[in-house]
Formats: sequence, structure tokens, C-alpha cells
Amino acid sequence: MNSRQAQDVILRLLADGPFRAAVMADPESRGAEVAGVVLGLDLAALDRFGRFLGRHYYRERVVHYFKYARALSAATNRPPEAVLKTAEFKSLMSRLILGDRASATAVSDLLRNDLTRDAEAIRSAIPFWDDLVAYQSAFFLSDALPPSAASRPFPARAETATLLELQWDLPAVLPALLRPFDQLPIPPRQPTRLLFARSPEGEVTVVRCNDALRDLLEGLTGEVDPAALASRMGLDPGSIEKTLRQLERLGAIIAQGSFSSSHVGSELADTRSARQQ
Amino acid sequence: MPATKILVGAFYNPHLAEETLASAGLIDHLAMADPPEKNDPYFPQIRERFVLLLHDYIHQLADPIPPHALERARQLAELYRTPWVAEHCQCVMTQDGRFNVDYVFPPLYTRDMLRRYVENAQVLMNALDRPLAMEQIPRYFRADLDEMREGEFLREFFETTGAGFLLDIAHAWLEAHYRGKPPREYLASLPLDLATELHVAGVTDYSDLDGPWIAPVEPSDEMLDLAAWAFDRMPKVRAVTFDAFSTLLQPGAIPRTVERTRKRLNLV
Repeated sequence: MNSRQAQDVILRLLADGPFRAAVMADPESRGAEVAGVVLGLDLAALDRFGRFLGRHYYRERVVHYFKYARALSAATNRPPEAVLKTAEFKSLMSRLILGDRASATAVSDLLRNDLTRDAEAIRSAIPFWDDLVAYQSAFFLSDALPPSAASRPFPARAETATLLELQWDLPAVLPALLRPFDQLPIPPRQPTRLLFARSPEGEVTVVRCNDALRDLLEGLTGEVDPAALASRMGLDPGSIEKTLRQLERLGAIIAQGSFSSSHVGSELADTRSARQQ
Repeated sequence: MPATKILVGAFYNPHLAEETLASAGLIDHLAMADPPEKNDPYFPQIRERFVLLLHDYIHQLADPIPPHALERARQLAELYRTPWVAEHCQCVMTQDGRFNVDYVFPPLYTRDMLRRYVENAQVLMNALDRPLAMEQIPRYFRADLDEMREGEFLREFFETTGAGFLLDIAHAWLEAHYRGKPPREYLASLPLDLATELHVAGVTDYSDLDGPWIAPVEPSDEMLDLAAWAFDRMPKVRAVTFDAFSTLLQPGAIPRTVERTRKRLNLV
């Protein structure tokens, strides 16, 4: 094992709670090479640093993705980052793997429970509170690493591409929630569907999703030729190719090789992009 | 200490933009840890009034820098018109991309790692056509896997690449603290003669660590004294920066710290 590989062992020990716990219990449990690296480390201190990193990792993401709930915390008295100081989070820490989707789901569940439990008074003041929590949770989850995708013959919806159905048109008021206001900005009450996608570089984007886009995504199983799908949906094959390229850039679909360039036809219904910082 | 004007500044904290703009006579430059938000109404003025330094995460120099990361760095460097770019002496992500601590963490100090850092730093400098400064990162726990001392690794890196040393005084204090060494003795082992930028910052105690660590807080007088001691041994230094970037940073902290730093380093 060279020093770059030894560095990887240390990084995994820091980022992967179950791996760290197994190695601390038995340094030989992951093989002789790992044991050779571990021999040179102060494992008790490394464990403390791993816990510190875990709390820091999720705090950064809670602060970023739950920024609207934070901005409203004077009214709700529920700063979302407070969950990271609870006994529930502490008991979770040794099981967390930084970047892992299941770990992010576990932390997200804690956040949702904390923010929506016994929240009738909050809902009276902020009627779109549940939607806001769901929106931020979807963002938070989208940040996690995607599971490795099986190779498929045709484009497939990415497992990290999430559709969220809301009762309120939240994107209409989100920027206003971060600015000082006398009266709480209230979004229009109308069904709103959003698509969350994570790009290969890790950038999370949300776009409005109409019925045509939803049907297209649900039809992209990886086993169906997009041309056949377009034909079945009554869509123009030429514009579907353009849409697929946009969706691939966003990370909403995983394409194998190139899309067919033989398609021509009409435009897929417009989807308005609302990339978030 | 060089004869040319030394910039004194801080990090750009968007929630403190109004106060920062009002302190333009006191603050020469702003280090940019994140790209500006698209709807940041202050950034155009910030860009006009201050020298901006690219201090974002570009990529770890332990591994080849992918084209998209180079392109992003190039775009930011042009947006900021940065006189130099900064990266950290860190290795935070496994080679397969599966594990990322998403926080500064130093590499093992070995010959092989040094070779990798030199190669990748040269690619970065060539791509950006700007000087590079690299900041040292402390290690919290003992790792007896190094082949060379940190100071040797850094000196050889800077002498081979021509990059400048960005000395973070709080990082140095922490490294000395966890090694059980007097801070000045540890500092003397670093290539201060090659330093082009100095960071001043504070530390605070963390319960997870049972001790102090990096924090977005004002430096103590002791820390500023240590910074002054190092500063007097840095003939190539071009900028001194208060390193604090956090939404937790309160109004007043930046101008107060820049003023204290100027006084302590005789840069008034």
C-alpha cells in the first residue's frame, strides 16, 4: 500500500462511522494492510475527530439547505441546527457515513420530526410550513452521493432525481423569506411539482416539473428507447433529445452513450429552471 | 517585512456586506471562500472597491485536477481579478470519490505525496497563469506514517513549484498545541521565508475534541503576538487576512480584528 492509499484508509476511518467502529474493535477486521495503517494512528483521537467531522458535515448542510427554516426560527423557535445537539443525533453518529444517502435519510428524518412535531402553532402562523420542511428535506437528501447505477441500454431516471408534490407554490416566495419583512410572504396556494436533481459534480438543482416531464421521467426506465417513448407519449422525438441532454446535465437522468440524433419534431412542454444556491 | 505595501483584509461574509463596504478605508482586500450568490446585491460594489483573492476549494493537489474544476477556478480567477490563488495543503477525498470528509485535512508527508502535490500544483498554476499560495493544515491526531517533517514537505514543495506559503497562524498554534511543542519552536520549523500571505484567526474549544480547534472567532492577543513574531520573519509577505468565514460571525468582528491586526503588526 502506498501513502496515497494509506491516506484513503485514514479518510474512510474519518468519514465512515461503522468502518471506524469495526476497526477500533478489531484492527485486523479489515485486513492486514488496513491494520498496518491503523498501527500508526492514535485511534481514540481519530474517533473524536471523526465525530467532530460528522457534526460539522451535517451542520454545514443543515445551515445551507434549511436556510429558510433558519430564517424563520425567530417565529418558530425551532432552529433546525439544534437537532445536531440532541441525544438522538448523538446516538446516530457512530452509524453515519458522510455523503451516504441512507445516512442523510436518517438525519433528514430527525430534522423533519423535530420541525413538524407538535407544530400546530407554527402551522397557524406559517401555513406552508410542512411544504417548506419537505422542500428543504428534498434538497438536503439530494446532496448525498448517488448509489452506483447499473449499466442500462437506454437513458434512465437517476435514483437521486426526486419529484416533490407541494400544496403551495413555494419558489414564488423563497427569496423573500431570506430578506427582512413586516408581513410573512405567503406563496400562492396551488399544487406545485418540483424536480430535484444532483449533477455529477454534486450541484443540486430544482426545476418546476409539468405533467409531460414527469411522464417522461417515469418512462425512462433504462430499458426503453427514447424514440419509442416519445412516440408512445405523442412527443416530438427531436425535442425529446434536447430535453434528455438538459436532464443529463442536471443529473436527473443517466445516459449510456449518445442519444440518437435521428429524431426531429416538436418541442417538449417548457420547464422553467430555478437553480438554487 | 518587505518595503512594498502589504494588504490587510478579511474574508467576504455576504451577511456583513454593508459593514464591509463601510470599512473600505480599513480593509484592503477580501478573500473569497465561496462564489458570490447570483442575487447578492452587494457583490458588484465589493468587486469594485476591494482586491479580491480566490480562496475557494479548487481541488486537492494530491490528485489530478479534473477539467471542470480547472475551468471553474479559471472563471472565478477572472471574475475576482485575483492576483494569486490559494489552495490548502489538504487531502480530503478518497481516490474513488466514495469518502469525503468535506473539511480541511492534511496529507501524509511522504515523498510520493510530495511528488503528486508538485505535479498537480504545476498543472494548476499553468492553467490559471497566476501565482499559487498554499496554506498549511493542522493534524489533530497522531499519525506515525510520515516520511518527512511537515516543514520539509512544505519547503520542498514551495522551492520546487515556486508557489508561496500561506501561513495560518491559528493552524500553526493548533499543530504545536496537539504536538505538545512551544508555538514559536514549531513555527521556526516552517518555511516562513517563503510566506506570501498570513492568516490571523482564533480558536475555540469543542466538546467533541476535548480541546481547541479552528473557529470563526477573533484572535486572542496571544495569537496576534504569535502572528507578529512570524510576520517579522516573512520578508515576502504581501497580505494579512483575518480568516473567518461563517454566518455565525457577528457585526463588528471584522473591522475590529482588522484594526487590531494593523496595530499589532504596525501596518497602520
